[in-house]
Amino acid sequence: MAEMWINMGPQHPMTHGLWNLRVKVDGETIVDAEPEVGYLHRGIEKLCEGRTYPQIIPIADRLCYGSSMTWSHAYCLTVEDLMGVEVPERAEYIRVMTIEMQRIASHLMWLAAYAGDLGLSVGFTYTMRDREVFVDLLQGLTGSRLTYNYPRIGGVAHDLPPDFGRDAIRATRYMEKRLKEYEDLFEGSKIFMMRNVDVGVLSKEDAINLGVTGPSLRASGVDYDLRKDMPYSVYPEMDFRVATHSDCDCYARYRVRMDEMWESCRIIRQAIEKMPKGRWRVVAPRNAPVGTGVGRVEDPRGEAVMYVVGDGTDRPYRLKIRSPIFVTVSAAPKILVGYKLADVVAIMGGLDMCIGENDR
Amino acid sequence: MTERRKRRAAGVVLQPMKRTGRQLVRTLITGKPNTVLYPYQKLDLPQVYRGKHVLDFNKCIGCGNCVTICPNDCMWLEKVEDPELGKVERPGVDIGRCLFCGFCAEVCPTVALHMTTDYELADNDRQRLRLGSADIRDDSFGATFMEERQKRLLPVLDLSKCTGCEKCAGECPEMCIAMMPIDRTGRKKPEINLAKCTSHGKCAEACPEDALTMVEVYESYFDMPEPRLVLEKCTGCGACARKCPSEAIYMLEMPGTEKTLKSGKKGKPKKRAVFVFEKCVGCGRCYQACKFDAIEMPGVKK
Repeated sequence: MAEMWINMGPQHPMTHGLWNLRVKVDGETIVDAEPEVGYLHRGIEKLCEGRTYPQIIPIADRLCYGSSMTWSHAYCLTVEDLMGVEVPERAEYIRVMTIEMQRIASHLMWLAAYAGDLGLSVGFTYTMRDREVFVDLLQGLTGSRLTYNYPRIGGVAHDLPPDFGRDAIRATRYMEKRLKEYEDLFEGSKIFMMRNVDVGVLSKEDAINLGVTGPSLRASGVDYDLRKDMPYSVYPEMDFRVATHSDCDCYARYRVRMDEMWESCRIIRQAIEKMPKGRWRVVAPRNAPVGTGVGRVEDPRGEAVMYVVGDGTDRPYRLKIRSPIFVTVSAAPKILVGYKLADVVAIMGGLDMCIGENDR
Repeated sequence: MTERRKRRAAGVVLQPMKRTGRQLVRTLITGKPNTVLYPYQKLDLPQVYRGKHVLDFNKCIGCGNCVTICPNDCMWLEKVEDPELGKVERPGVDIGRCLFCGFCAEVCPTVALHMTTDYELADNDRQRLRLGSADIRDDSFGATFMEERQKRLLPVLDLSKCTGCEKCAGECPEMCIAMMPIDRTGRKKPEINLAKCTSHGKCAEACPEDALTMVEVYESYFDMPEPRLVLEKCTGCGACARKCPSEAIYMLEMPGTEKTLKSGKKGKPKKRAVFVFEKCVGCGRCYQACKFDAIEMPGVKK
C-alpha cells in the first residue's frame, strides 16, 4: 500500500497548543514521524535582553501557562547565582511549597487534558475541579490565578497570609483522597488501560540518548530527578522518594505523574512544618556583575535550565532557556513508529506538551 | 515503586461506576454545585488580587518609579491641575497593555498606588482602556485595608536647618552617623549609615534646630540607583532641586566663588546641589533635568 504523510496540527485536538506533528502512515501503521514546532515563537530570549532583571520575572512566568511558578523560580535561581545573593531560609521554604503546589496543579491539568484526549469526560471534570483547590490557594498567596509573578530575586514577593499553612495541609489531605479516587477511576477503566498499556514504549537507552528528562525519563526506568541528584533550594531537607516505573509505556508515564503528586503532597506538609520565621526577602543589587549564572530546576515536564550572561549593567547580555519539552518532543519518531494512528493521541498526550516554553 | 495493580474483571467495570455514583450521591445530598453562575455570583477574591489600579493623589509624589519599572511601558506621567494640590504630575495606565504584574504597586515609595479586586475591565473601545490619572483616582482606597509593606523609622535630614553642630553624631548609640564635609561649601552634614541604624531616635532628640526628624519610611524592595554629582560641571542652576519629587536636593552656596562686579562689590556666590539620600527615591528625575551632565546615575535612561 502507498505510504502517505498526514499533518496532525497545527489545529488539531491532539495538539495542546500550536504545533504540527507530521506522521507517515502505511495503512494504519506509523512508519515515520516528524514534529514541527515554532508556531508560537515569541522571541522571549531576545525580549529579555532589553529589560532589567526584575522586569524579566513576569516574562519568565509566561513561558509555560501550566507551571509558571517553576519558570520564574528557575529564573530567580539563575540570577541569584549570577549576583551571589543569599536567599533567606523562610523564602526557600515558601518557594519549595509553592512550586510543589504548582507541580500538582500542572500534573492535574495534564491529567485532565489526557483524560479528555482519551475520551474520559469524567476524568476531565474531576481533575479540573480539584486543580481549582490549588489554584485558589496560590491565588490567595500571590494575587493571580495563572501568572503568579511571586518569586523575586532574593526571596519572594510577600509573606504567607494568615492560616495559609492550615489551608494548604487541608488541601493536601483532600488531594490524597482524590488521588485514590482517580486511581480507581482511570486504572479501573478497561478503555483507559487498553489505550495505555504497552503503547508508546520508549526504551531506557533511547530515553537517555535522546535527552528526555522528567516524568518521561523516569517512566523508562531511569532514577534521575534533579531534586535528589542535584538538589537546589531546601530539597535536601525534605523526605521524599523519586517516582520511577520500569514499564516504559504510556501507563508508566501516567503512573509516575500520579506518584509524583503523592510525593508533592508530602513535601508541602513537610515544608509547612519546618518553615522558620523571619524575613522573606532581601534587596538584590540592581546591576549584575560580569559573569555567568546557571539555574537548573526540576520542572513538572522535565529539566529546565536557564543560563544568563551579565555584563555589569542592569540588563542581561544573554539569557538562554533550555526547555524540557523541546528535547522530549524530538523523541517522537522513536516512540511513535510501529503503532497505529489512533495511538498518536495517547502517546503524544502522555508527554505533556507545553508549547509556550517549547517555542519560547 | 507502585507496580500495576491486579484487577478482576468485575473490578474493571464496577470501580469507575462506583466512584462516579458516589460523586452523584454526594452532589445530590449536599446540593452544592462545583461551579458559580458567573454574572450573578462571583468568586471571593483575596485582598492581594491584582486587578485595576487605583491611585491616592495625596500620597503620590509623582516620582515616576512606576513608569520606569513597568515591563510593558504601559504607564506614563501626565500633568494634572488639581484645585488642592496645584500643578502636579500623576501616572496614568493603559490597561489594554498592562500585564498585571503588580510591580508598579510594589515599587511605589509612598504606597500611593494599589491594585483592586476589580477584574471586569473589558471594553468595546480601545481608547477607553487608556485610563488617565483622573480615572484611577481614589484617595480613600488605601484606608480600606492594612498595608503589609515593611516600614522603618528613620531620621530624615532637613539640610536648610542643619548647622553642622555634630550633636547627633555624638548621641547615636550605634555610631552610625558620621559628619562629612560638603565639598567647597565649608559646611558639614551628618551622613547616616542606614544599614546600621536601629531607629533609636536619639539623634532627632539631640538636634537643637529640629533639622533631624524621625519619619516612617516604607522600605524599598528594589535596589534604586543613587545620583552622584560632578562638581566641576555643576552650574548651580537648581533645575534638579525643582524637579525632585521628594525634596531631597538642597542648593548650598559655595563661599569664595563670588565674582567681583564692575562696581567693586562682590556678587552672589555660586551654588551647588547637595543630595540627602534618606529622602531619595531613586527616580532619576534630577539626572534627566540636568542640562550640563553634572549628575551621574548609572542605569537610568535620559
